[in-house]
Order: sequence, then structure tokens, then C-alpha cells
Amino acid sequence: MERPGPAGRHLDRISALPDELLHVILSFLGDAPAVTRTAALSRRWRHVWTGATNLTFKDSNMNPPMNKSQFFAGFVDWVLARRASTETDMESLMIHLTQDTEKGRIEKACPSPEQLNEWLRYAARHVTKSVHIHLNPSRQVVVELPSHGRAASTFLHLPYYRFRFPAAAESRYQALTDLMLSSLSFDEDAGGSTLRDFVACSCPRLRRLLVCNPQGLRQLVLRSKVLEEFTISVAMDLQFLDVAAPNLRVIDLYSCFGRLQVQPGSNDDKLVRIAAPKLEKIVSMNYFRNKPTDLDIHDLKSVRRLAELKLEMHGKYHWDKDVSFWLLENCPSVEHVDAYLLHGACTEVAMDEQLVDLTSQGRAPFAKVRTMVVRASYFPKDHFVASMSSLLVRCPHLTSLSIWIWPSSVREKTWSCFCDVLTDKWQIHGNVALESLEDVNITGFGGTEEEMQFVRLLFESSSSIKHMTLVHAPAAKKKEGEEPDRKDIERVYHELVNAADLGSWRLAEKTFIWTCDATS
Amino acid sequence: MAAPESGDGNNGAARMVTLISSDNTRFEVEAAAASLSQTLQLTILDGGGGGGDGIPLPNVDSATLSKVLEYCIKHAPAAANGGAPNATAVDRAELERFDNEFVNIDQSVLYSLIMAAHNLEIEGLQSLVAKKVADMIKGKSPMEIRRTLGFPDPTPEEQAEMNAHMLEYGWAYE
Repeated sequence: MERPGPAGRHLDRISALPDELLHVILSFLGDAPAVTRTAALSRRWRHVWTGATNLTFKDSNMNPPMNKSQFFAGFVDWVLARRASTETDMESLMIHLTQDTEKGRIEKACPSPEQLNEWLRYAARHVTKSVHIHLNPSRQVVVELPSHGRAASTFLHLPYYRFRFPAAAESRYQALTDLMLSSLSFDEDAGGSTLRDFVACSCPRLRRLLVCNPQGLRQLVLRSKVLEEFTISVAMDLQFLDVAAPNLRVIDLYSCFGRLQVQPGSNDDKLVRIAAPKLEKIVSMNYFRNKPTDLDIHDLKSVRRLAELKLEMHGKYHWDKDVSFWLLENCPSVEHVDAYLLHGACTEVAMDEQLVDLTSQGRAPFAKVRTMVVRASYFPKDHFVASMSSLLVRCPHLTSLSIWIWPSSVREKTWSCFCDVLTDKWQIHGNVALESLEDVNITGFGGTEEEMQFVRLLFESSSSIKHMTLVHAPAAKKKEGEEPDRKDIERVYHELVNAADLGSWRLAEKTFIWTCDATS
Repeated sequence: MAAPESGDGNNGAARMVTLISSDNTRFEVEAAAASLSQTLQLTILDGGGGGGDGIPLPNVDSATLSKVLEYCIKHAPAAANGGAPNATAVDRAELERFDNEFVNIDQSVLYSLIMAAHNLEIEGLQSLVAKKVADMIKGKSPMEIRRTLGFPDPTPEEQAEMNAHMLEYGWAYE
């Protein structure tokens, strides 16, 4: 008999819902302590939670002492054991331990090897969508990936854990489409199965693979008929990468080969071989050494997008062996470029390197480039317009240009650089012609002399611009929360208005918007 | 069993179907909106619900059904776009605003809605309500949850059982 208490006018109708729906509600709760706590609600609720399908264990969500590692791991064990009796599947399991890493306590902050491996086995048996395990560094623990898994997505961040793949012949991850392996130590010398075997033999549906900060991974050979996106970053021990994937669309290689011993005379050895006839997008391709002769990529003709390129420019000059420029020059179908504009401090010119003038006569334009995003960061004064104009002179068919200028990225005082002696490096190229350009966005616009000069250059180079949006940011770095300087904004606005031609500027908050006069 | 005239409705005006609630109220609604329900979609593809027949829904009363249909009508255009990958930010913001308003209702209606969404297999609506209920539970102690959800005060026997349970497992609920 239910007694409608003072607050009981709903008559506890939630408890009348079928378990199945209560599980759906709990799955939106996610947070494991909040889910298990419902056991204390009433007799009806005592065991409902054991059927919850999403569980997140995150120490940052927990109160002391539960967030301390020994309790944390015990709690995970307890929950999984209670669940196991129900034999129900889970959609997602997240175990995320980040705290408790003060000096000397790192080892303590980890579950025991037995606990971790049991969690992985549990996840492999029961989780159908997403497994996410993120732990603190530990150097001793051997982690064994179970032979079979059911999840579509698996993320493991286990820094320095010695990772072992299951024997390829018996292993199957039938549903796995997304695999992210972060900071694991690949125990290559232990023999046994490798990442190559795992991808080729055990993962028939793997679409996306991310390998980040792998330890001890010296060689990576990937053969997959289904892989579409591959990212490898901070692979310092890597010496050789070989990918053959007929369906690969995106490759992202960042900051690899850091510990490579460069042997004189062996410069012709390829570091990277990629055979991917459907490759559409190359991201970064920035690594130590940075030489196009290291790369063997088939086929660059299909590449439509270049992202996170690091364009190291000294006015109109760049190095002949710069991979980013090499990609620009050698990917004839590229339509979209997303790049960082940089000017590194470099005092010496290496023996085998030469400067190239991006604007020299007779060089073919980057004819298909339509859209470009440039993130201008960290460059000396007077560098911006010269570098941008040299880049733009090669992009005559650009329709949209977006520029992000980092606050305080312009350095008043230049550092010493080999380019100090080049007298024509700041020369602004006069032949920029952008007769398809329609949209321009600049974020971080401080209205400095250089930036104003750049805006004038765009208008002089193009009669097709329809919209230009400049989002103001003070030239000098402001403290967070400080109000934007209205006076400065108005000064910039008046300067823009005075120089306006064929169109009109208006000011909305801190954004200057130019539109072309409709009459033309 | 399909009514012969209801098979082709794609010439001109949007095809309408009739739904009949448990208390015998008839609702006429566009087939596209009703099809947000996987259950109804099958019936409609079979040609049901057109003409004078109507689809009886013996588990859904008229108050709940009218609310369910309000949701379906609002969400039908986006659903027709296949989850609306091309929807503008404005459209998405408008749907979000609608959703937030929509679940700002009495709890008993929420539970009727989630039951109906479950029976009619309207996943978006089921998730929307489940998320709302989860938000009401979030960050609360068991006693606070009991109050929020309108549980009756525990009987002494129940209280004793709860206390015993907390003694054993309370550590896990902190």
C-alpha cells in the first residue's frame, strides 16, 4: 500500500516503469557512483542498476576517499562483479584515473596488473560500443589484450604499460571500427604478435586507427583493406612506416622519428611508404628531419585537402626540403589548405639546403586551391604581409580565405636569423591577383599597420570580394576578462572606413564587417 | 489488410494517417511525422492508417498521444533529412530550445511519455525524457532522490532494510 506523503503526489510512478526503461535512464546518468547509489532508493531499485548499460568511473567525479586509487580500483571490481551476475551486455565502459600522481605515488595510483587485465577481459566479453581506459603511468605492468572483443570502439591510454597483442591466428575483433592506442609500450622484443598482425588479421572492420606516443615501436607496417583514417603522432622510436591501404582517405603523421640516428650516406632510405590510391587528406606530415626524399607516397594526385601544414616562411623564401611546401607543389588536386604560418629562428643554413623563392617567375600556380585557412603565429614584425602575399600570388583561384592571428604572435624585436642578410625578403609581391576571392575572415585583427596593409592588398588584388569580416583583438595581449578597448576598436573602424572603396564597413560589437555594394 | 486506396500518397498533398488513442480519440497526422515511430512506420509502409481505418494505439491515452505527436511534428523535418546533417545551426538551436521546453512538465507526464516512446519505438523522444529524468537524479543523495521523485515515505520495515543495506554497501555510494 502506497501512502501519498507530503511530497508523494507523483505516487512514485517512476518505480512502475519496466527495468528496461530504468536502464535507459541510468545510462544517461553514466557516472558509476550515481548509478550504484540508486540501489539505496528502495527495495524495487536494489538491483536495477546492475543492468545499467553505460558506466563511467572517473576519479575526478568522485569524492575522497573513493577517488584514491586503491578504493577506486576496488570499486570498479565490486561494480563489475555485481554486474557479472546479470550477464547483461554493456554499451560503454569508461575507466579514467588521472589524479594521485604526486611524486613517488605514481605506482600506487594504478590498479594491480591482475585487476587491469580482468577489466580488459570483462570489457572484451560484455561491452558492445565503447571501451575507454585511461590510467596513470606504470612501467612494470604487462597488459594483454584479450583474444576476442565485441566493442566498436576501443581507447586505451596506458602510459608505458607493456602491451601484448593476442596471437593473431586466434584473435577476432569483429565489430571494431575505431582503435586508439595511446602511450603504450610495444614490447617488440618479446616476440609474439604485433600491431601489424592485429590490424591485418583480427580487425576486419577497422576504419580509424590512432597510435599516439608509442614506446619502442620501431617499425610499423600496416596492411588493411578497410582502414580509412590513420593517425600516428609522437612516435619517437619509429624508424620506418609502411602503409598499404586501398581505402585509406586520411593520413595524419605528426612529430615522429625523433630518435632516428641519421647516418651519412643513408639519406636515400625512405622513412615513410604509403600506398593509398584513394588518399584525400594529408594532415601535418611534420616530423624531425623533414625531407621530401624520406617520403614515398602513392598517390598524391587524389589528395584534395592538406591540413595543419607548417609553412616555415622567411618572407617569400622557404627551404627547398620543406615537406609542407613539397606537398603543396606536388599535390596537383588540392582544393583546401589549412596551414600554420611560421618563422623559426634559424641561424645557419645547412650545407645541403637551399632557399627557394616561392614567387620566382614561371612557377605553376596551386591552381585548384579554393579555400585556405592560415594560422599566423609567432613571427617577427614585417613578416606577415610579405609571406602572405608570396603565398597568395600562387593561389589565383582562391574563393575563401580565413586567417587567425594569434594574440601577441607578432614579435617587435626580431631574433637573429640567417635571413637577416637577405635584403629582399620583406618585399611585398605586387602581382597578387585574386579574381575569384569572395569571402575573407580575419580573427585576431588588431588594426596594426601590417594588418591594415594586408587588407588594402586584398582589395587591390581582387574586385570580387563580397564579404570581409575582421574580428578585433587588441594588438597588445590583454588580461583575461578585461574589456576590449572601445577607443581602439573605433580607431580601427575609422581607419577602415576611410580606406573603403566599392563597399561599406559596419561595426558590430568587436567585429568589422565589409559588404560589397549591391550595385556592382 | 492494407486499404487499397492508401498505398500511394505521394502525389501532391502530404499523406495523412489517423491514430486512435486508448480512450478513442482520433488524431490525424502527417505520415512523415508518425513515421518517427519505428512501430508506426512499419504499419504505414504496409499501407495502414489511411482512409477511415485509423491505427489503434491501445497503450497510449489521448493526453499522452497529443504530446507525443507534438514532438514528432516538430522533429519530422529534421528526421526526413536523415538526422539533418545539413541543418543550420539556427535549426538545431531551435530544436534544442523546443526539446528543453518540451520536457519541462510534470513528472507523471514524463513517465507516460517515456512509456509511449518505448512502445512506439521513438528513440529520440525516449532519450530526451530519459536524459531529463537522469538530470533530476544527478548529484543527489538517495534521500534527496526519493524526495525529488516523489517516493512515499519509507515504512519502518523498509527503512530498517535500507539502513542495513547502507551499512553494507554505503561505502560504494559515497
